[in-house]
Amino acid sequence: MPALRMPRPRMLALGLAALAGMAGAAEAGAHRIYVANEYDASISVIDPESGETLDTIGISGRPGEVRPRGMAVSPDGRTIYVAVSDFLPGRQSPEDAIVAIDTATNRVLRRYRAGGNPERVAISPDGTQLWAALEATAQVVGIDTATGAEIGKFQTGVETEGVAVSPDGRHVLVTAETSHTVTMVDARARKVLTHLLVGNRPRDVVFSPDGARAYVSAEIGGTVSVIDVAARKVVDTISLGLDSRPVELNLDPSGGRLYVAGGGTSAVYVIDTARAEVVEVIRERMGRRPWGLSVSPGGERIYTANGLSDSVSVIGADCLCVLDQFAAGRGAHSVEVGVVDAR
Amino acid sequence: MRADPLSLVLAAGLACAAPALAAERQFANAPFESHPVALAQAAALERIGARIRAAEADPDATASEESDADGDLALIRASLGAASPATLGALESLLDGAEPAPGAPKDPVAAARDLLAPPDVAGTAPFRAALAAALLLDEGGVAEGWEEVAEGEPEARALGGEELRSVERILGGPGGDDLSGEAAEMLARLDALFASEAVNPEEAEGIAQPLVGLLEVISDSDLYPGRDLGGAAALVLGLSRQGCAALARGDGAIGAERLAIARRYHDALIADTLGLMAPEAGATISAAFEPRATDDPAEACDALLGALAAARTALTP
Repeated sequence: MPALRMPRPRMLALGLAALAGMAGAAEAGAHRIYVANEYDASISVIDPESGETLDTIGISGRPGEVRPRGMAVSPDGRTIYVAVSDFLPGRQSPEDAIVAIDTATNRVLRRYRAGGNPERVAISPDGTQLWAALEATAQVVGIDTATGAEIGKFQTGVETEGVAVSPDGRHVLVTAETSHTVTMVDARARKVLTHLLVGNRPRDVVFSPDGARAYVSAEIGGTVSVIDVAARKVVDTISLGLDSRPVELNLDPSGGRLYVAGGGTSAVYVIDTARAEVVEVIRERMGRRPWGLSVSPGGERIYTANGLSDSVSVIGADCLCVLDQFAAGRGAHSVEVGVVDAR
Repeated sequence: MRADPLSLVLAAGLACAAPALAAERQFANAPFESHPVALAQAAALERIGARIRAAEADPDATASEESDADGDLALIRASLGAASPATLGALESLLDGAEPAPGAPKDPVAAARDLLAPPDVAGTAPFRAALAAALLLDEGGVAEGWEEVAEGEPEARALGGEELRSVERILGGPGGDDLSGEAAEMLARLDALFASEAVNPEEAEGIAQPLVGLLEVISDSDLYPGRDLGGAAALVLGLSRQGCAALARGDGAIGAERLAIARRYHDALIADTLGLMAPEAGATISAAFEPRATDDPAEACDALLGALAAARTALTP
């Protein structure tokens, strides 16, 4: 299945906080929207205020053969990492890579060999490790961002997709679509800790800001599973309705609100994490097939990448309504949104 | 549709209303739970019919699909053979590219359809929606056919296209009186896809999945029997018990057919999960489902049912 991933806003928020006082530090609130355009083999760089496309970064000269999907943002906001593969998820190819893009120049800095048809990617809070979900081989791979060396490769469930690194960098969680599982890896000990059964066809996973909880969307299950990370157990299941089709999800910086893209329903579900229930469903003016979803560093805006309308919907966190629509590239089923600082 | 229209005209309205109800929504019908055998057999028969039509149009189109045809025949052979040996014989002849025997039904697929599916069930909206979902998403269905096309097997295009024709017939056909809104648009997109150059192997599934989601709302039916993995394991266990009971009473044909159906559900719904969460039970089940795994059917059944019971426990939260 087409799959997308967003850079995690909480990581950006952490990164911005950590950079405070440093020379050249990013200023909070100045950011760009990055959209992975699956069929154009490109990344659109969009001004979040005007909606203007500021740049289009080519990922490959072979659109229609090579595609960008999941993205992650380095903690300092200076690098976007993009999972790149061909269109045949069941096999490995030389195209399988994680591409690093400099957000200051919008140029490709380097390519990390990944193998396994990487679908989504996450980065450790210290920026030293990339973790990519390898769909073709049912594995997750860790890569040293400085050297490009493989840190480790671990077996997961079948059709690996979502991946997240805990705020303390210790745990990596990986979803697997057809085994309906999440695999927990200890990134320090470099071993698989456990596999957990979650909702049917899990897509994406995100850690709470304190790392105590993780949330997993399940597209067919119509649920979000809540994992107690320390206990390594699913402790709650939030129902969005069997017809909700949740895919990508992200938290606001406080962790109090969880936003979930309803890819098959052209809606965004808003969950109050304290109450563990849906408090709002945003449908009016939404683009079609919202798949990727990201939150601005301050939490004021939510962006969705709409695969069937090749657009980005801009949602206000105050009104929980769609404020604007921005044009993106030709993404059809797999566009994504990233948010980084604009120095 | 022939009866009880799905009233897809309600699609747009229901889809719009769905989010507000989302947190509470559960479906009233569970056709795979109510009629697992009839649905597995109906889907197998439709795939066989599509294969015959594709072969008639292009004999090379289904040359590589013989093993799939055998697998589908195994799901209906005993039941159809008991009801009408002539119809079964005609189907087998057509699959072999031969002329049916004199006196055989002119349209053996249609004849088999009437013989296999309980008439009070086959025309209902939940059953038809479930059958369409199976043809769209199951192994050997429309989405997988497109995957094969995109992965370099052009001969899969004709078969997938014919399966799509079956879905359209079951749902009333594109532009049909009872088909409108998003569902019709999705079917039209699948049509257009099968007429286009293949780029993305996931594209048909990317359309079929939301289409099935829409059919769930329209028919008020749970169309994903694997949503509840514990329930799916119980389904496989129940069918396997039926098969083993038939074997025990000496009805080898029905026993083998039920076990073939159980295996189909096992492979589709729980095999991947068991491989990770309960690998020993998974390995035992897979081995026991293999034909001629042992000379002692009772022993094989004991192993199968024991492992399936363990699987159900492992997959039930």
